[in-house]
Amino acid sequence: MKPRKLNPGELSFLVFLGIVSVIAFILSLQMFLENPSLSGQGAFPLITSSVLLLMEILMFLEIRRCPKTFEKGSRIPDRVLAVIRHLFPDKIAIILAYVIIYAILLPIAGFAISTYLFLWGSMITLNRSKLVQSIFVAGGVLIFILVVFQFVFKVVMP
Amino acid sequence: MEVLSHMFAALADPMLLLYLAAGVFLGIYIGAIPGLSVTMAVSLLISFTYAWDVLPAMAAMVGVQIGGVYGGSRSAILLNIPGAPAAVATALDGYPLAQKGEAGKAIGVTVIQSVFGGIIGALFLAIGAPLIADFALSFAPRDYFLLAVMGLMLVGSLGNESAARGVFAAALGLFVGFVGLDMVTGQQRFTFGNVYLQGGVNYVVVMIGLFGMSEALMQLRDLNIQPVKQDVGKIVPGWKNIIKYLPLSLRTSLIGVFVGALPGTGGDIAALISYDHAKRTVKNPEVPFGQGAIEGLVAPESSNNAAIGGAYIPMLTLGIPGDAVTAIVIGAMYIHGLKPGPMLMVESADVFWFIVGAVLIGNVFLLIFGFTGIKLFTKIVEVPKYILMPTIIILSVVGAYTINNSIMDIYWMIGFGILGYLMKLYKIPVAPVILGVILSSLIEQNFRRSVSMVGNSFPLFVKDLFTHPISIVLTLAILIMLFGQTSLWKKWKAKRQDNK
Repeated sequence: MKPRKLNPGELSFLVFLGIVSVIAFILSLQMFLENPSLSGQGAFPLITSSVLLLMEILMFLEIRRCPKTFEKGSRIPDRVLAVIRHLFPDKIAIILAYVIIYAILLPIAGFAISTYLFLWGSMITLNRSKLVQSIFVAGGVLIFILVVFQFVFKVVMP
Repeated sequence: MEVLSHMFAALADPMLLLYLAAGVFLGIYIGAIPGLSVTMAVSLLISFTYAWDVLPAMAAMVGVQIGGVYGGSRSAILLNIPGAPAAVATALDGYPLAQKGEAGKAIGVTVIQSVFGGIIGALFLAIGAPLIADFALSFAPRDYFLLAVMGLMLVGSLGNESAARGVFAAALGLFVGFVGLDMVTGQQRFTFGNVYLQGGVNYVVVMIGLFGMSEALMQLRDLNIQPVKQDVGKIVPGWKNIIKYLPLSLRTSLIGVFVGALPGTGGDIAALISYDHAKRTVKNPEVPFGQGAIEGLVAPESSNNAAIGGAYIPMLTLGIPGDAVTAIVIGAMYIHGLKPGPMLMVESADVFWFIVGAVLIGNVFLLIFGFTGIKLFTKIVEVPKYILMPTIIILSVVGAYTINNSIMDIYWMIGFGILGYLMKLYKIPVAPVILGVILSSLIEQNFRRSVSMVGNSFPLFVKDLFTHPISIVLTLAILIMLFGQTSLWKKWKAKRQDNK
């Protein structure tokens, strides 16, 4: 990997993946020790989680030559803010929140209502100047999806 | 003569021709819509065609498969969201072409190459079915294990800034595939007592999340970027271009047939192996690979459609599915009272040769329908992002739900969507994850079978890798690939380039 400036939060994400790899390794080892056989249910997960750990180490070795993302002495709250801004610029955080609310609302309000609210909400959030147009566009998209999936392909909707 | 009359029965019966044509047409648009999949479409067809006669049912399914595998490349090129796992490699060079406004050219190339590969696959199915089936039978479990490892290593090293990140992603995908009940012992693995996790995580859910949802989130980062106007003036490639890439098309089609003929592997592995082959053999492409190289489209597209013909070889001759779709087709054949296997050619020769003919004729329809709707589809890219991206998210939700009619799959899809978004942001490739999930079962089962055959002895397992011809070839290929990633090799190669 050619040395490059790391993106804000990249090191933390690699650390997160490292923690996941360690947990995977520990769980796999426990499974393997219950039945320590190469053809047992724990053997291949143990091999795979070992590969995860090894690659994690290699990734950390690769980035040690990369220039630091933040200046020395910068405060932690500033760094956290920079990471959040990098992860969720503009309206991504809002759209993500809409997605989660939509998923919760689906079994409660049904597909048609939840989907229309999500579509219209997302469209006006992403483009406030098209408030009225979005009402009709969201309706059109919903009708198209219902026609194609429910009536043509006879797919069961959520 | 009788064989030919069975093969081309569709030509004599307009209704059969209609079912085949409709299947191809529908397959193209199903494959092209993110959220729908060929496997899902063929599964739905089983219920539609339950009461039909066997030949129309087979015609429709073969048509949908041929159209769908090609169709997956359209969304891969236009939106960087592969419609099928077989189109993952197509996105690597297809999407960069669309970003340059050349989506029409890219789609034209994929049509021609898909048809070419499909016809090669059909010819091998017709001529070499028994021979190729014999060769496929000589693959031992360790060979399947090695082939799957090779596939993962290939995808781990393709288009990534770091092989370590690619292999990590592949291993992560493998691990996701372990979640659920162990196939041999029935023991729960990594389910944390959660009943929903006992069924495992479906690879289509992972694919929709990692490619569909995450791509929508990535695109939302650049709302102000104007959609690139696509040039659709010249879609059909000229003869000169087709002949220029003919040697590569032929080689990668053959790779597709042979990989497709191996039970359990399919167009996805074939496409990646072919893409890597193209990278290694095409020394000076006009455009570098990963930036819109035409060779980067030629190789995977000819290969993944050739793999369809290949996949039917073990399915028809041995009753063993070549890939997920042929596994469903086997189910359909049983419903219609047929028994795929060695006796099919004897007891139901008309059906056997009809399917062979349908694969061949289906590719002719692909040539016709493959050029339809291109202008319409390229318009999709020009739809404002504030409309397109929420729509893609909804399609991803619907696509995830249709697999098992489970709301949990939607939550999984969102989770993988967020993971995919973070991975793309921090330059960890997502394609290896989905391949890892798909190959997890194949790799592990064959590894366990291989070690069981040598009494769980690791030294004997390693010895086997170097004492059987096919295993030696595959093991050496993997070792060469591993060595190719070391800094020693890279330094030697750079020195050689400087000396030139």
